[in-house]
Amino acid sequence: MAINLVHRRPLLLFVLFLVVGIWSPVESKYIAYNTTQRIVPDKLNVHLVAHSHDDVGWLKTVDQYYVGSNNSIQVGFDALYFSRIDYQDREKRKDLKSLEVVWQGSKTLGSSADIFTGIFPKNYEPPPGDFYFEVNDVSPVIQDDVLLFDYNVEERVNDFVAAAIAQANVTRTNHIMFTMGTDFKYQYATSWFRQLDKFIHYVNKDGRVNALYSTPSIYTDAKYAANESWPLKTDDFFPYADNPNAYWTGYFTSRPALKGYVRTMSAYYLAARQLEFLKGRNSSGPTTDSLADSLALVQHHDAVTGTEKQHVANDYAKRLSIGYAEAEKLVESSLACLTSSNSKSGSCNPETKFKQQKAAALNCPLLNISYCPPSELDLSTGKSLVVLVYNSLGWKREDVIRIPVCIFIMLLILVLSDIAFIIILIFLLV
Amino acid sequence: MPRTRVVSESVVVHDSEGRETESQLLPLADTSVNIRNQYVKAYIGISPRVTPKFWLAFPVSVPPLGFNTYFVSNAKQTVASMSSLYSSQGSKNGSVEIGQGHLKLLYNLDEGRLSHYFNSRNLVKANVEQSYSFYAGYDKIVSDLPASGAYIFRPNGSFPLKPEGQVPLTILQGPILDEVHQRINPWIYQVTRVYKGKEHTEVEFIVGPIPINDGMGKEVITQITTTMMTNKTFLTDSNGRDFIKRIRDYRSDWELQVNQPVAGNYYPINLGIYMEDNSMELSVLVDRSVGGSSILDGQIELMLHRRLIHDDGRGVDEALNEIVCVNDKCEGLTVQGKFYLRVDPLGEGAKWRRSFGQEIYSPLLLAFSEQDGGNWTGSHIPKFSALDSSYSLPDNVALITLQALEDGSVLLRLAHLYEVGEDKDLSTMAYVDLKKMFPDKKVRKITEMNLSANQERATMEKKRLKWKAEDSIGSGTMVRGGPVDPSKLVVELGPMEIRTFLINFDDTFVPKEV
Repeated sequence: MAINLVHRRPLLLFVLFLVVGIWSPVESKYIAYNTTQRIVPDKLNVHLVAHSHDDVGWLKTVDQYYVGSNNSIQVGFDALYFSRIDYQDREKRKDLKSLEVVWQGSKTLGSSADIFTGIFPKNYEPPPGDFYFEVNDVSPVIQDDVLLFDYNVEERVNDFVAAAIAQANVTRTNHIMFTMGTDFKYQYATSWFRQLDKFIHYVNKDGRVNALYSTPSIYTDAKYAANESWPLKTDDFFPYADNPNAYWTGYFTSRPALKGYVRTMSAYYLAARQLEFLKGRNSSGPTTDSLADSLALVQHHDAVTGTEKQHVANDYAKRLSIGYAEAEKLVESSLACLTSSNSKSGSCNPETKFKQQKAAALNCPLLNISYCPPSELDLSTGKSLVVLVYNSLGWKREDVIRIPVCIFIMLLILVLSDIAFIIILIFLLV
Repeated sequence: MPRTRVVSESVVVHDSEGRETESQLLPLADTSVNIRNQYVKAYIGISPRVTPKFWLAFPVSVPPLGFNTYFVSNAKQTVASMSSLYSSQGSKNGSVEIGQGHLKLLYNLDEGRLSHYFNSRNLVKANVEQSYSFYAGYDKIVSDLPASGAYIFRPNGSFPLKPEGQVPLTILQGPILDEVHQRINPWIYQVTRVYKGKEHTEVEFIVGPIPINDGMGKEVITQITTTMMTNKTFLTDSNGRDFIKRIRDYRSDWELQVNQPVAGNYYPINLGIYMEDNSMELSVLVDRSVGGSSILDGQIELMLHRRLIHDDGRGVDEALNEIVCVNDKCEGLTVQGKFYLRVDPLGEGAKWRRSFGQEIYSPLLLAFSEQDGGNWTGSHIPKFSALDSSYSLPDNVALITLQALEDGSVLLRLAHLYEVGEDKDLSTMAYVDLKKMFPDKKVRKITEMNLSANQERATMEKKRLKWKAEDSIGSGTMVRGGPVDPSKLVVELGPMEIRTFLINFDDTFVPKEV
């Protein structure tokens, strides 16, 4: 929905006025956030990348929690940056300047799946030396008014240059990245950017290193332009330990029921999507989109991993079940449509089919715990149960299915014991 | 040995051509009934009106990307075979053989456990035992030492879980499958299934509620133990695609200092884990992601469930202690799942891991309806395949996406399932005939996209940075499919390749001849 700019112009001007009004007090002698700053070829370039823990397209997509070796290949990513590798591995890579590598995750795909991979020297936060600037953080802010007793520009610039040189000592090329942020930061971005603005201003005035606002893309291009050969990394980085007794291998199993639910829903989504295609997508009817959205959501590194709080896990499961409910309607109407004899004519109208047959097709999501009301039909009335079996694989399939049944049954139980044969006839109404 | 034989005359299954299909009734285990009652109430807030006493199992045959219809009705004369029920109670020694087809499992009745695996077709024979244990979760946070929690696995000793005294096996046998029911302990129940037509065994586990009233968090594992000499080596999948070789207490990138001999050897298992010796390979596939390892040679273990009482200090700030409440009565979560086991001659296991892995990931979708009288097939299409009637995808190709997009185009992803050298027949170039895949549609335009389908593959390849690696291993042997000729419409796929296409079909619908 596009906003009609002509009619909204007074409002727009008012908003602009407000924005400019708020922005203007920012001290203009400092650089303000922009990423067009120049790289200085003969200096150490410190790429400042502002981020919180969950910025879309940044850490959320680049950290490694649940990423195996081949997630990024064939997508076209040029680089991947993350932190979580084994602490022993990290120390050794620092020594060998091999934190940045070319990762070849698949033997079969070989170099065609190469991806430049940067491992941060320390977690995914600012370098050591007090560079945390969330509102309640204790790192000293830059005091640049000479009348202040805690004036500290030179001191802070020295801290910054020292941190840059320390990181440069474990990094190849004259480009390093400072990840300026971490979990639960940026509740108030101004407190960060005010300091970053000042750092860039004073550090560049000092001139020993070149500090710039950057992004992972700018950093990647700079690394590429250096035309370096990088160490080769094969296989993957599992398992991960952040200290000698802290292996992050429990989450492989944490919340096994949620993991099972995600897998089941994922398979159902795959089949439902096929049926949506076979029936013909209908914009007014139910779709698989909400199931797709909830499945996408649970791929988060604290969702399917089982590393979320209980109430968050409940929320994920609820979203999956809502998505399922809509997809189930689509599956039922698609199957009704595909089984209807006049679908051959190309006109498939499930509305009428639903009226003709009360229950066109019902799914049983709780079949795994033997609950399936449609299959528990009373067959003694002469009705029969129709079981439609859909195969989402591209191969013909021979399988055994099982359904719970309620049957009016005559049981003849022969109990053979060491002593005697006892024949009991039980007329059992199930 | 007491033996209970149940005979019924009640249900019959017919296929879509009206032929009678063999079927088998299996009584519902009490454990399953209890789970049903509790979890149906917990999930949907109602108590089931009736309790079915039986599972009805029958074989189905379903065309690719299509469906088939089966009919279950009351029968006067014909019968679904009632499983013969068989309890090992009272038997002090001897063994019993399970399995109606090629695969036989031998159980030691004395100890009430699996002892041998034998396939009469390929003569693979292995000593296989299976057992449960738990690791006690480390419980104190002292400085750098975290407890076991949602992220971290830090075991403090392992404890075998065995039945108190002799608990009999309950064995159900019938024409379609055999089942072995075992109550491992008060909170672990297991059903092992061997299907007549299949050469793997399916193990369904019910674990929970894990007791923690002794103040100890527990991480429950199952172990499959053999006499195979596996030389510290096992393989686990990477996102269900490549299998990566893992060596116990070893890292290829640096000299590992071993501090956690168990937790430090755990890897994520999404599709499966397998190990080899000089004559065979044993594979275990899973129905969801779990952690697993091979802590001893010849052994595979999977962690199935965990319930812990401390936070591990990594940000969750909660103990991983899942509970389920019904009418304000709460207890630890019970988890029910499956894993699958098969032993193959060395070098022949990939076929099962790949093909059956797809079957696990995409179970048959069941839908139910009812009919009064026998008129369904007269008014409905009972059997259908979206593919050309003579066509199915090659054995080494899976359809991973077939999706109608909002703008009317169709997103298609095809994946080659094998790595180079993984299988002698199937690690080769595969060909998918799109004309036969979409027999009643005409492709107007086909565009190859990158995997995420947000740009054309050619554009992506052009933009993509080519990085230089030190000691680069040559990749001259790499096989990739070529461009799709729009007149031939055949997609080539090299090993492990996934290809993504946007397809526009002609709007005119060409009716399919049935």
